[in-house]
Amino acid sequence: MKMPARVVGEEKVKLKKSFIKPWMGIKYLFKKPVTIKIPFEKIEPAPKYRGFHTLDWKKCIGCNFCGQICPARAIEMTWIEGEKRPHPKVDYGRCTFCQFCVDVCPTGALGFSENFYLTTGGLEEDLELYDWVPIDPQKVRELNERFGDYRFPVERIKFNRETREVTYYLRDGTEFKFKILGYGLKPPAAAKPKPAAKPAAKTAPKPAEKKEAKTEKPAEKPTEKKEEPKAEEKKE
Amino acid sequence: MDMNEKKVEEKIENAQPVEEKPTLPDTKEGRLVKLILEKAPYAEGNVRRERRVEFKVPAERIHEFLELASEKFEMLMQISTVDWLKEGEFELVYQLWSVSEGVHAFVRTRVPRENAKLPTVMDIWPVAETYEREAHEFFGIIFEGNPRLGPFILEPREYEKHPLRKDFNTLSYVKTIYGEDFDRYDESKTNYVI
Ligand code: SF4
Ligand code: SF4
Repeated sequence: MKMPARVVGEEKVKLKKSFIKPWMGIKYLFKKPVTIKIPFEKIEPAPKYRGFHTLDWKKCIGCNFCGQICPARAIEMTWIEGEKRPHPKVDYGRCTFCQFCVDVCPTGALGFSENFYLTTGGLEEDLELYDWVPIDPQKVRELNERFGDYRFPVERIKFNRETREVTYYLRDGTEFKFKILGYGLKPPAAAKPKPAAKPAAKTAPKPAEKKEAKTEKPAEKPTEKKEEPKAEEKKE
Repeated sequence: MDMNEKKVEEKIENAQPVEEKPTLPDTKEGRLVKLILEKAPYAEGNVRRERRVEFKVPAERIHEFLELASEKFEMLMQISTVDWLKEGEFELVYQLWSVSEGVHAFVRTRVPRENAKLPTVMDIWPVAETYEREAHEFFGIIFEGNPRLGPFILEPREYEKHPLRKDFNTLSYVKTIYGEDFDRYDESKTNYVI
């Protein structure tokens, strides 16, 4: 039977054995070695290297598209005090950095940065660092410009299990605080009475605003969104 | 039925809905299918597209058919199994490759889910031994005549559980092994949204 493929003759690919030829490798002894001396030299990741996420809290509408597409099930929607919609929380213990979630995000809220260094010790409180609600891209960019070493923008994450308060100690020394009310798609039942009670304790003008927003939940989303993140910024 | 009609509209090649003598295109694939069907009238065959043909064979005659097909299709590339839970059947797809013609063939056969038994094809392609062990381990299909249908890839505690069957609940099995909650962090990611 005629073979459809073209076949190269064996005499062309078969090499003669040689005693001398392996010694030709010695020529590299005198050439500059191809290596990067990591602590002293830097490597620049590609401009769209898939690294840690960034999340624009003003844009995220809590649709959970990112949570649905995630092949590693690394995203859990998180209800944050002061936010009307849940935001994704990314677990880097599971994340494969495929960035499907970034592509699927309908509002472009979820993005990614080139940062890729993240090392911790093995203690439980160190490991909290691998589980975060990504912060604003602007902030990450700022930190990158300042340090330029592509490390995780947060140095330490403290999670208080009683009060459920999370504190991000960013690399430039600022703190970023918020409170987690619950997880999942449904608004946390336990948290419902809280928003009414909490702001009363903290700030005076807020409660009215909150209650308004609560009653008119489905009606006016855009205005709410604009209001809420501002509060976040202030905290920051 | 509906599907078939659609296909007819799109492709004249496949012609005539269902059954027995679909007119085969006058190509290398078409002739190949015709040649085999002449010798094996019990099978159904058609041409999917260029270099891709398909046969449907009743399970009791699969060995006979494959032996016949092995004249033209020298290589067995894979035995893949599909679990059709609603129909209560396993579908075995023997993927054959014809080195001389450059044609890929799918030979499909169906066996009932309970007590699925098939003759081994090791005597035709020795490599079938491995593929059959895999199908045995993951789906519990018994290939009569294969001497090595024992523990293969899975750990001992997973053996005989047939994890790729559709009625095997992976998540609940994982929970019995690693505990209810295998997340380090506060929330639990053990529920699946989709
Ligand atoms: S990050 Fe994007 S995809 Fe995920 S919940 Fe927010 S808006 Fe939806
Ligand atoms: S990058 Fe991929 S694995 Fe990581 S959270 Fe996004 S979708 Fe999930």
